[in-house]
Amino acid sequence: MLTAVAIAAGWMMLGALAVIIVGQLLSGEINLHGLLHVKQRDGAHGVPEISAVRVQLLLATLVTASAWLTGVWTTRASGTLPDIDTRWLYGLGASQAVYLGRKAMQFFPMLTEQRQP
Amino acid sequence: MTLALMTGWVLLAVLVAFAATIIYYMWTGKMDLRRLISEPNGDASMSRFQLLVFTVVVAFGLFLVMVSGDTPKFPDSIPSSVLTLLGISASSYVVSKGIQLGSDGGGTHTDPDTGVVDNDSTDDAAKKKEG
Repeated sequence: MLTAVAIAAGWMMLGALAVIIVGQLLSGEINLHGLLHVKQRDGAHGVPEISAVRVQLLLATLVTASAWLTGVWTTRASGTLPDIDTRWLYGLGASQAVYLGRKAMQFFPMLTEQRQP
Repeated sequence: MTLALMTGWVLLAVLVAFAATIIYYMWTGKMDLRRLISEPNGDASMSRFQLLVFTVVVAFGLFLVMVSGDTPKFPDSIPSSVLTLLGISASSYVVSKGIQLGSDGGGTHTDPDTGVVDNDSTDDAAKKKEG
Protein backbone atom coordinates (compact mmCIF):
# COMPACT_ATOMS: atom_id res chain seq x y z
CA MET A 1 0.00 0.00 0.00
CA LEU A 2 2.73 2.47 1.02
CA THR A 3 4.76 1.58 -2.08
CA ALA A 4 1.81 2.08 -4.41
CA VAL A 5 0.95 5.45 -2.86
CA ALA A 6 4.60 6.56 -3.01
CA ILE A 7 4.87 5.63 -6.70
CA ALA A 8 1.58 7.36 -7.50
CA ALA A 9 2.69 10.47 -5.62
CA GLY A 10 6.02 10.42 -7.45
CA TRP A 11 4.34 10.24 -10.86
CA MET A 12 1.94 13.03 -9.90
CA MET A 13 4.74 15.31 -8.73
CA LEU A 14 6.91 14.61 -11.77
CA GLY A 15 3.91 15.11 -14.05
CA ALA A 16 2.99 18.40 -12.40
CA LEU A 17 6.58 19.61 -12.65
CA ALA A 18 6.75 18.63 -16.32
CA VAL A 19 3.42 20.34 -17.09
CA ILE A 20 4.51 23.55 -15.38
CA ILE A 21 7.96 23.75 -16.97
CA VAL A 22 6.94 22.63 -20.47
CA GLY A 23 3.80 24.79 -20.30
CA GLN A 24 5.78 27.86 -19.32
CA LEU A 25 8.40 27.15 -22.00
CA LEU A 26 5.71 26.85 -24.67
CA SER A 27 3.71 29.85 -23.49
CA GLY A 28 6.84 31.99 -23.39
CA GLU A 29 6.58 32.65 -19.68
CA ILE A 30 10.02 31.12 -19.28
CA ASN A 31 12.11 33.35 -21.45
CA LEU A 32 13.44 31.62 -24.58
CA HIS A 33 14.17 34.83 -26.45
CA GLY A 34 17.50 34.72 -28.22
CA LEU A 35 18.17 31.05 -27.51
CA LEU A 36 19.32 30.47 -31.08
CA HIS A 37 20.47 34.00 -31.89
CA VAL A 38 24.00 35.25 -32.30
CA LYS A 39 24.91 37.09 -29.10
CA GLN A 40 26.50 40.52 -29.04
CA ARG A 41 29.64 40.87 -26.97
CA ASP A 42 28.35 43.90 -25.11
CA GLY A 43 24.97 42.30 -24.40
CA ALA A 44 23.16 44.62 -26.81
CA HIS A 45 20.20 43.29 -28.78
CA GLY A 46 21.07 43.69 -32.45
CA VAL A 47 19.30 42.34 -35.48
CA PRO A 48 18.35 38.71 -34.66
CA GLU A 49 20.53 36.29 -36.59
CA ILE A 50 20.26 32.52 -36.21
CA SER A 51 23.50 31.01 -34.97
CA ALA A 52 24.45 27.72 -36.66
CA VAL A 53 26.64 26.84 -33.67
CA ARG A 54 23.71 27.13 -31.27
CA VAL A 55 21.40 25.19 -33.57
CA GLN A 56 23.86 22.29 -33.79
CA LEU A 57 24.28 22.26 -29.99
CA LEU A 58 20.50 22.23 -29.52
CA LEU A 59 20.16 19.33 -31.97
CA ALA A 60 23.03 17.41 -30.32
CA THR A 61 21.40 17.92 -26.91
CA LEU A 62 17.95 16.78 -28.02
CA VAL A 63 19.26 13.79 -29.99
CA THR A 64 21.50 12.61 -27.13
CA ALA A 65 18.72 12.99 -24.57
CA SER A 66 16.24 11.16 -26.83
CA ALA A 67 18.70 8.33 -27.50
CA TRP A 68 19.32 7.78 -23.80
CA LEU A 69 15.62 7.99 -22.93
CA THR A 70 14.89 5.37 -25.59
CA GLY A 71 17.47 3.12 -23.93
CA VAL A 72 15.88 3.72 -20.53
CA TRP A 73 12.45 2.81 -21.90
CA THR A 74 13.61 -0.45 -23.46
CA THR A 75 15.63 -1.63 -20.43
CA ARG A 76 13.45 -0.17 -17.66
CA ALA A 77 12.38 -3.55 -16.28
CA SER A 78 15.99 -4.57 -15.60
CA GLY A 79 16.24 -2.08 -12.74
CA THR A 80 19.50 -0.57 -14.05
CA LEU A 81 20.18 2.63 -15.91
CA PRO A 82 21.52 2.04 -19.43
CA ASP A 83 24.94 3.25 -20.50
CA ILE A 84 25.24 6.01 -23.05
CA ASP A 85 27.12 4.95 -26.16
CA THR A 86 30.56 6.58 -26.14
CA ARG A 87 29.93 7.83 -29.67
CA TRP A 88 27.07 9.98 -28.36
CA LEU A 89 29.34 11.38 -25.66
CA TYR A 90 32.11 12.15 -28.17
CA GLY A 91 29.58 13.80 -30.44
CA LEU A 92 28.16 15.91 -27.64
CA GLY A 93 31.64 16.83 -26.42
CA ALA A 94 32.65 17.93 -29.92
CA SER A 95 29.46 19.93 -30.24
CA GLN A 96 30.13 21.64 -26.90
CA ALA A 97 33.72 22.39 -27.91
CA VAL A 98 32.54 24.07 -31.12
CA TYR A 99 29.99 26.12 -29.18
CA LEU A 100 32.44 27.20 -26.48
CA GLY A 101 35.21 27.87 -29.01
CA ARG A 102 32.91 30.11 -31.04
CA LYS A 103 31.78 31.89 -27.90
CA ALA A 104 35.37 32.47 -26.75
CA MET A 105 36.29 33.90 -30.16
CA GLN A 106 33.25 36.16 -30.05
CA PHE A 107 33.80 37.45 -26.51
CA PHE A 108 37.60 37.70 -26.78
CA PRO A 109 38.26 39.17 -30.25
CA MET A 110 42.00 39.32 -29.54
CA LEU A 111 42.03 35.53 -30.03
CA THR A 112 41.28 35.96 -33.71
CA GLU A 113 43.12 39.24 -34.34
CA GLN A 114 46.32 38.93 -36.30
CA ARG A 115 49.34 40.29 -34.49
CA GLN A 116 51.27 43.08 -36.15
CA PRO A 117 54.98 42.34 -36.65
CA MET B 1 1.56 -1.10 12.30
CA THR B 2 5.28 -1.52 12.56
CA LEU B 3 7.63 1.33 13.27
CA ALA B 4 9.24 1.02 9.83
CA LEU B 5 5.89 1.33 8.10
CA MET B 6 4.90 4.35 10.19
CA THR B 7 8.25 5.99 9.43
CA GLY B 8 7.64 5.34 5.74
CA TRP B 9 4.24 7.03 5.83
CA VAL B 10 5.60 10.02 7.75
CA LEU B 11 8.54 10.41 5.34
CA LEU B 12 6.21 10.14 2.37
CA ALA B 13 3.89 12.79 3.85
CA VAL B 14 6.79 15.16 4.47
CA LEU B 15 8.21 14.67 0.97
CA VAL B 16 4.80 15.11 -0.68
CA ALA B 17 4.14 18.26 1.35
CA PHE B 18 7.56 19.63 0.38
CA ALA B 19 7.10 18.83 -3.31
CA ALA B 20 3.50 20.09 -3.35
CA THR B 21 4.59 23.40 -1.82
CA ILE B 22 7.27 23.89 -4.48
CA ILE B 23 4.83 23.01 -7.27
CA TYR B 24 2.17 25.33 -5.81
CA TYR B 25 4.68 28.19 -5.67
CA MET B 26 5.72 27.51 -9.27
CA TRP B 27 2.10 27.32 -10.43
CA THR B 28 1.06 30.56 -8.75
CA GLY B 29 4.20 32.41 -9.82
CA LYS B 30 5.51 32.96 -6.30
CA MET B 31 8.55 31.03 -7.45
CA ASP B 32 9.55 33.04 -10.50
CA LEU B 33 10.77 30.83 -13.36
CA ARG B 34 10.85 33.55 -16.02
CA ARG B 35 14.63 33.77 -15.99
CA LEU B 36 15.28 30.09 -15.33
CA ILE B 37 17.45 29.82 -18.43
CA SER B 38 18.26 33.49 -19.00
CA GLU B 39 21.61 35.19 -19.12
CA PRO B 40 22.24 38.47 -17.28
CA ASN B 41 21.37 40.46 -20.43
CA GLY B 42 17.93 38.83 -20.63
CA ASP B 43 18.57 36.46 -23.55
CA ALA B 44 18.04 32.74 -23.10
CA SER B 45 21.18 30.75 -22.41
CA MET B 46 21.88 27.59 -24.40
CA SER B 47 24.11 26.19 -21.61
CA ARG B 48 21.38 26.60 -19.00
CA PHE B 49 18.79 25.14 -21.35
CA GLN B 50 20.99 22.11 -21.99
CA LEU B 51 21.62 21.61 -18.28
CA LEU B 52 17.85 21.81 -17.66
CA VAL B 53 17.12 19.23 -20.39
CA PHE B 54 19.70 16.73 -19.16
CA THR B 55 18.73 17.15 -15.50
CA VAL B 56 15.04 16.57 -16.23
CA VAL B 57 15.76 13.64 -18.58
CA VAL B 58 18.11 11.88 -16.14
CA ALA B 59 15.73 12.45 -13.21
CA PHE B 60 12.80 11.08 -15.22
CA GLY B 61 14.85 8.09 -16.41
CA LEU B 62 16.02 7.31 -12.89
CA PHE B 63 12.47 7.42 -11.51
CA LEU B 64 11.17 5.28 -14.39
CA VAL B 65 13.83 2.62 -13.77
CA MET B 66 13.22 2.69 -10.01
CA VAL B 67 9.49 2.01 -10.28
CA SER B 68 9.49 -0.36 -13.28
CA GLY B 69 10.99 -3.39 -11.56
CA ASP B 70 9.08 -6.00 -9.57
CA THR B 71 10.00 -4.23 -6.35
CA PRO B 72 10.85 -0.53 -6.51
CA LYS B 73 14.49 0.08 -5.66
CA PHE B 74 17.30 2.47 -6.40
CA PRO B 75 19.64 1.15 -9.13
CA ASP B 76 22.78 -0.54 -7.83
CA SER B 77 24.98 1.91 -9.67
CA ILE B 78 24.75 5.01 -11.83
CA PRO B 79 26.66 4.38 -15.08
CA SER B 80 29.75 6.53 -15.44
CA SER B 81 28.61 7.58 -18.92
CA VAL B 82 25.49 9.20 -17.42
CA LEU B 83 27.63 11.08 -14.91
CA THR B 84 29.95 12.09 -17.77
CA LEU B 85 26.96 13.43 -19.70
CA LEU B 86 25.89 15.58 -16.76
CA GLY B 87 29.52 16.58 -16.20
CA ILE B 88 29.97 17.71 -19.81
CA SER B 89 26.83 19.80 -19.57
CA ALA B 90 27.62 21.34 -16.18
CA SER B 91 31.25 22.09 -17.01
CA SER B 92 30.18 23.65 -20.31
CA TYR B 93 27.85 25.92 -18.33
CA VAL B 94 30.68 26.94 -16.00
CA VAL B 95 33.11 27.59 -18.87
CA SER B 96 30.45 29.58 -20.68
CA LYS B 97 29.91 31.75 -17.60
CA GLY B 98 33.66 32.20 -17.28
CA ILE B 99 33.93 33.39 -20.89
CA GLN B 100 31.09 35.85 -20.39
CA LEU B 101 32.32 37.25 -17.08
CA GLY B 102 35.89 37.44 -18.36
CA SER B 103 34.94 39.68 -21.26
CA ASP B 104 34.29 43.42 -21.10
CA GLY B 105 30.51 43.26 -21.42
CA GLY B 106 30.08 40.15 -19.31
CA GLY B 107 28.35 41.82 -16.39
CA THR B 108 25.66 43.51 -18.42
CA HIS B 109 22.28 43.01 -16.82
CA THR B 110 18.86 43.58 -18.36
CA ASP B 111 15.69 43.97 -16.33
CA PRO B 112 13.24 41.31 -17.56
CA ASP B 113 10.20 43.57 -17.10
CA THR B 114 11.43 46.86 -18.50
CA GLY B 115 14.20 45.67 -20.82
CA VAL B 116 16.44 48.39 -19.38
CA VAL B 117 20.12 47.53 -19.72
CA ASP B 118 22.19 48.06 -16.60
CA ASN B 119 25.85 48.21 -17.54
CA ASP B 120 26.99 47.93 -13.93
CA SER B 121 28.02 44.35 -13.31
CA THR B 122 27.26 42.98 -9.87
CA ASP B 123 30.97 43.19 -9.06
CA ASP B 124 31.15 46.83 -10.11
CA ALA B 125 28.05 47.64 -8.10
CA ALA B 126 29.52 45.93 -5.05
CA LYS B 127 32.76 47.90 -5.43
CA LYS B 128 30.82 51.16 -5.66
CA LYS B 129 28.93 50.34 -2.49
CA GLU B 130 32.16 49.54 -0.72
CA GLY B 131 33.70 52.78 -2.00
